Amino acid sequence: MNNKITFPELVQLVADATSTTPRMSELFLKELFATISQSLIDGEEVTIKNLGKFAFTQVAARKSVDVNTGERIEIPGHRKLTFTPDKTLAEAVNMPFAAFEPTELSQELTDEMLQDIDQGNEPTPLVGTEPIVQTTQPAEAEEPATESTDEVAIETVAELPPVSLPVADREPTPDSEPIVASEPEVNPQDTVQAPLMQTGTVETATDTTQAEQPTRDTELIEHDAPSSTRRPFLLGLLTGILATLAIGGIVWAIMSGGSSQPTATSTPPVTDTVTTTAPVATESVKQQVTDTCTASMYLTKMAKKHYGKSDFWVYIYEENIDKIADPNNVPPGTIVIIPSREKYNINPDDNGSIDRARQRAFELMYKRQ
Amino acid sequence: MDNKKLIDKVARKLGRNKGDVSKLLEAFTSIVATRCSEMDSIVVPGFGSFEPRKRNERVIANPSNGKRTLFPPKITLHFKVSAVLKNKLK
Repeated sequence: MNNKITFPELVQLVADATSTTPRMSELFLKELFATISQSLIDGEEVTIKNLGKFAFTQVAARKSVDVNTGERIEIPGHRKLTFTPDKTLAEAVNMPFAAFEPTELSQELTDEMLQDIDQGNEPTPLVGTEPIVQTTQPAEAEEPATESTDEVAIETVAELPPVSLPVADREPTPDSEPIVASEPEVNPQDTVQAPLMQTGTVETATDTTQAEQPTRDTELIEHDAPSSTRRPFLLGLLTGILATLAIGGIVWAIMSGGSSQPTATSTPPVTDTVTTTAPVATESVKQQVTDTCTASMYLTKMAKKHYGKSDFWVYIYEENIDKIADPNNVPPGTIVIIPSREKYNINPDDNGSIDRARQRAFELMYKRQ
Repeated sequence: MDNKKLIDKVARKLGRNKGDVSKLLEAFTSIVATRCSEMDSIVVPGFGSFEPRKRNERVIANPSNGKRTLFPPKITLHFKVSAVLKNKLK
């Protein structure tokens, strides 16, 4: 990660990959680049299958200043060498982020919320928080490297009209909406929290409010803040919403409390694996599964072998964090324990599980910086 | 010069058969792919370096319809010419 691979190292890598001698590999590489260079010097572009194309672009002459004397000079027109990577190579290089696609953000996600998420404040933990949080997870998912520390800053390029506007907009026309029996129906906060709430009483309300969002947002007219007569109304609604949220939070906590019990029992202090050196194909959860690291068998491969997806290497690393100093460089012969799937909720078919693994990987990279 | 001609030339110079040279070239390509996806750059003295460039995720707003899109992070491959080669090309 962020390493520079020198020519001798490259020679060795090629030799290993093709089972040739380093001498042969060196001769080949030297000859390869010499031939490419010569062709380019002769003015002919070079295309290499699955690598890319080395071609020329013409650069126009431009006026500039001599750095030493300060007088104006002209940089003559010249040709510049460009490299365009082949499609397959570009995809391969982007492999860590291959699964992600540009996603449209929901309208309710305000700039403030984005900044909050940016700074690491979790949005209030609700049952329905999942959809919003996952759009930020690409930033925290498997990150091979971070070049600067303020990486995950989500830049907001354009300012959208303030969120209070849908609120103000809604206020003057309470009659036009079908008023649901439950108290917190037209809540000013629901532009922020409506999509997050999934408690029974508010569901119908959010359906109607969400349906109205698109129409609401097209009227980009600025409104003043709600008049003072509306203030008590807002406060009342706010307390109603908070009460519902509190109940929802308790329900969620109970549900997740119930599901955590099975995992608690399956974490016996996993210690001596040195004694159980033989890589055992396990039948029962109790038996230790171990594996040995070699030049050809490393963490990601192990994850792929034992779990079905290489992204879960993070859990193998975490399980053996005391043995592995650098997950990118595990000394051959290191014996690592392969934790059971239940321990970390490893499920290769579940995208959520994979995303969590990638997020963990990203966090690990960040910590190591 | 396309791929075939390149392999031909190199094979002739080295005195090896085209199959071997082709395999070596493929190995080189795959090494570039794997190492660069791990954000390592590959330096070839006198020629240039293959550097991965990372673009962070960002939120872009479409001004016409106000829709905001989250673009995921991306790693791109960039080739930087060495000064030696640049001079030769002038």
